[in-house]
This record gives sequence, structure tokens and C-alpha cells, in this order.
Amino acid sequence: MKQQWLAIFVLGTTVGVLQVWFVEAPWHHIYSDIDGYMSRAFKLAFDEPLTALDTFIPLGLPAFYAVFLALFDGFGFEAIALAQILLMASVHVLVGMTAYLLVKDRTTALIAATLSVAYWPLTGQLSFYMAEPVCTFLVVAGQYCFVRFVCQRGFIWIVLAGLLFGLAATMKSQGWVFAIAVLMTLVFWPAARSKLAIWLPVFILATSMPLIIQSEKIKSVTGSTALLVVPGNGSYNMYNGQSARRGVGAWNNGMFHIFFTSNAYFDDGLLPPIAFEASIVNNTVFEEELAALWREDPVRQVLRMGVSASELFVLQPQWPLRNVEVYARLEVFFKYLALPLVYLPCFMLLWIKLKSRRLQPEFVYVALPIIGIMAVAALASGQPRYLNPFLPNLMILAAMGWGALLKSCAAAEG
Amino acid sequence: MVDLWVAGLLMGLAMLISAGVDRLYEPYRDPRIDGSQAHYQVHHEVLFWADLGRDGLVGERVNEQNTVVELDGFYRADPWPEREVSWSIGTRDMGRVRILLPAEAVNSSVRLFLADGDGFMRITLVQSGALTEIVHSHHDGVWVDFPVTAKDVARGSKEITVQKLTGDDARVSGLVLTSNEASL
Repeated sequence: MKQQWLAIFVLGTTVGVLQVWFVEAPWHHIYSDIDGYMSRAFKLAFDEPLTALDTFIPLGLPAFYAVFLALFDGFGFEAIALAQILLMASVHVLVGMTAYLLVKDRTTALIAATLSVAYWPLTGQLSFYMAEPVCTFLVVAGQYCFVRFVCQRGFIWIVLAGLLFGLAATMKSQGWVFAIAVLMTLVFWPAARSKLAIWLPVFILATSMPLIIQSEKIKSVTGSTALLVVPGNGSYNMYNGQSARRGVGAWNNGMFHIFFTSNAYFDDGLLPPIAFEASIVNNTVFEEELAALWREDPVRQVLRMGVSASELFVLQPQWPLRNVEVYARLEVFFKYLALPLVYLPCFMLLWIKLKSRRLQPEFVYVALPIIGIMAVAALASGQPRYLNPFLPNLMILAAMGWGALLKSCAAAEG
Repeated sequence: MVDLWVAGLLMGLAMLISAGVDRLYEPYRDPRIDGSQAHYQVHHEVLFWADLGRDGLVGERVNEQNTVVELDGFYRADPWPEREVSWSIGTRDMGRVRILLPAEAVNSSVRLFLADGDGFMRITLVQSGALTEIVHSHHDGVWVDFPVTAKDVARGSKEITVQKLTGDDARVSGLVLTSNEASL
């Protein structure tokens, strides 16, 4: 199928180039918290010292950007855009290749890759400098490696999967979801039991390596003595989501930091922004405020978690494309097209698997991250963009659903 | 085809559950109260009261003690429609309120009334000396209190800074100097 994959890659690259150069270029505007990512990228690229506040966000994406800024000098932004285009084109190919590994069926694999290319919001991410496109590539590549490991057992594949998920986790917490899904699959996979003692530590070690490097960098800045240090935005994000605020700010020593919840659909339902007299990296404050929310009204918080989890799946094609007004009508088109073309076949596949009582580990593995991101959304917030790195999994499952339907139709006719 | 129908039913069920959770959560969504703002009242001894932006920049309503207010960095803001306290002064960055205190100001407090009548996005930092108040979620308006200290009395004035943190601007609708023996 090499020719087909090459064709998908060329198509994906072409669509990406069209998106960036003819629809909206990422350097036309700075979206959301990317300002923070870029300022840290410049510091890393030109060897300027980081401050404790810089460790608020994961350092993986700034490090990735820093490579391009350092190497391409005045063309750093264009080089990043080109890299994002090539990574997203690779995502489309990997989606098809993963589907092929799962069902050994060309049609299903091509449906998956085509859905991935055709679902414009995935390509639309390329109009922005943000963590999602790079993280999406890393998790989809890691997933391909792990599925290949499950199907063909090559030791190198589980090492690669671990490294890629670890790298993804240094960019967005979604990387953790995929890594945890691997751990769950390994633990509950009967065939893996005899070799679990080897596979599990190997995978954990590989995943940990990028995280340890990030941790050491943070420790060198903050002077922390903890064993493994993660970026400081965890408690803040949980409070932000569970408080259902439009933004959460922190005022300290004359400096004010705030992140707004950029949830275009749900703004009307969010409470006004709030600010605390504290440093934004002071996790204790946000943990205490979160605990206070639960003490105040636990029922409200449980419902809020449910709302966040369901908001995640309100496909929001105008994000990230909402700045491109000329395509406003297409947003609606993609939103409603996704229901019959993606969600419905996913439910069909789920039903077929439940009916047949044959839940292969590789299928479970592709489905688990979807459940995982629901849990993360419930704990933090359900901005639909958080689903972006998981859309390829939905495409794979949808293609498998369509493939199963086509097979049953053919069997009925035959 | 049966599988397709069952899948449709399952998807419908998921959407129904989602809509149900959303409905149950509805009472917790912010109501954006457009109340009477009846709390814009002072029931006790008022030494000075100004409806800021109501009639000029400093619209004096009560001034029993010849108190003088100086404003720096504020403009008279457009009134908010359909609100009882529709007037206000605004600052897009930082504004300073300086009150020249009368001798009777010992054991008194300066109170500012801040509101967010339109955008619902305002967060305002109000500071005086070492005291800091971060004001948010004040669609209906909120009073912030700053006690007049012995230092203020000795100096003969009290200064309060109002700084916009988020929103279009920071808005102040009222300034009151009251005796601490009374409460708002």
C-alpha cells in the first residue's frame, strides 16, 4: 500500500499548504496562550535563563519551537508552519496504517486516512501555533508503534511508543492519557501476562525519559528537590475547569496572569472570571479553592464534570477556524457531517464488538484514550480542542465501523 | 442494517444523557442578575457621598464635612442602560482617588461601589496602602471598604488606586465616607 500512503501524504501536505498559505497563516495572529509558549521558545533558543513562572506550562512545545527558531533564524516561524504541515500529513498516513494493522483491510485503512484528511478541523489546526498539531503527531505515531507491537511483537516498537508518548506528555497532558491506556492494555491483556515483567518496565522507562529531562530542566529553574517535577499548571487547570469560570487570574507582586477559557460555544454558560492574590504557580491556592468548591456544593461539581465531559464531544469545527469568517458556513457542514460519518459508525463498531464479545486488545487500546480524555475533560475542562489529538482515534474506529458494515452488506448479498 | 439502527439508538441515548446532564446543570449557570441594585444604599452616618459620574465626574450628593475628592486617570463613562445605578467613572489602566479628609474622619471608612454592568468580564484591583481587594463577579455592584488609618488622618488624605485587570475598563459608581460606628 506504499503508493496509497504516499498519495495520502501528498494530499495531506497539499491541503495543509493551502490552509496555511491561502486560508490563514499562523503568523497573522497570536492565539491564546501561544504567546507564553513562544516567549519561552525564544529563551530556550537563545540560551536566556528561564524563571519560575516559565515552568507553569509544559516545556516540550517551547523546546520543539526553539529548535526551528535557532536553526532558521529569520525564517523560524515559516519553518515551524512547514514542520506542522508535514507532521499533520504524517498523521493522516499513520491513521490509515494503524487501521490497516488493526483490521488488515485496505478499504477500511483508506476510509480512515480519507476521513482524517477530509475532516478539515484537523488540518485547520495548522493555521495556529499551538501544542495540538505536534502532540497529535506524537500520540498517533506512538499509537501506531504500540498497535504494531501488539500485532507483531517487535521489542523496538514498545520502546518507540514509550518515547513518543513521553515526548507528547511534555507538550500536553493528553500524552499521559495514551500512556495510561497502554499500561491498562498491557495489564489486562492475557497474552501479555507472561512477559509483563519485561514489557511494563521497558515501556515505563521509555515514557519516563522525556519527562525526566523536562523535570530536570524545571528543577534547575525552581530549585525543587522532588524526584519528578511536572509543570505547575495542573491544579490551576483543574480549578479553571471545575469552577466553570471564563478565566482564572493570579495577581502577585504587581504581576497579573490570567488564562481565559476559550470555549466559543459555551461562554454564556460560564461564570465571570475570577482572580486570586497569589502566584500562578502556587498550586496550594488552587487546590484549596478547588476543595472549597466541592465542600460548597458537591452535586453541582458532579454535574459540572458531566457537562465538561459531554462538551468535549460537541465537535466545534469553528475552533480553531473561528477566526476565518469566510468559512463560517462550512463549520456547520462539518459539525453535522461528523455525526453520521464519524460518531454513528463508532457506535456501530462498539455495538458489534459488544455483541460478538470479542474485544481484541488493539481495539480496546484505540478506544481507551477516548474514555481517558473524557475523564480528563471531566476533571479539568471540556474544550472541544482538547479532543483534537484524539480525533484520529475516532476516525480509525469510524472506519472500522464502516468496514464492518460494508462486510456485512457484502455477506448479505453474497 | 439492524446494527446501524442499534448504533443510531445508542448514539441517540448518549445525546439524551448529555442533554439531561446539561439540563440538570442549568440552575448553576450564571444568571447575570439585573436586579434593582438596592444595596446601593447607606443607612447610617454619612460624612460624604458622591455618585461618581452621575452629574459630572464627582457628583456630590452628601457633603456635610466639606470633603474634597480628587480624581486622576478617570473619565466619565457612558451610562449602563436599564440599571438603577447606571452612572460610573472608568479607567482603562489605573485611576487614583484622593480624598482630603475632614477632621471628623477619625474612625471612619472610605467605601467604593464598583460594578460590571455590561461585559461581565471585569476584574479590578483596588488598593490603598497595604490593603488590596480584587473585585470580580460584580455584575450587580459591590462595595469595597478601606478603613481610614491614623496615618491617613495625620496626612489629611487617603489615596485609593483602582486598576483594571480584565475587561474593557474598571468602573466606580460611588464613593462614601462613613463613620465606623455605622455600617452599610
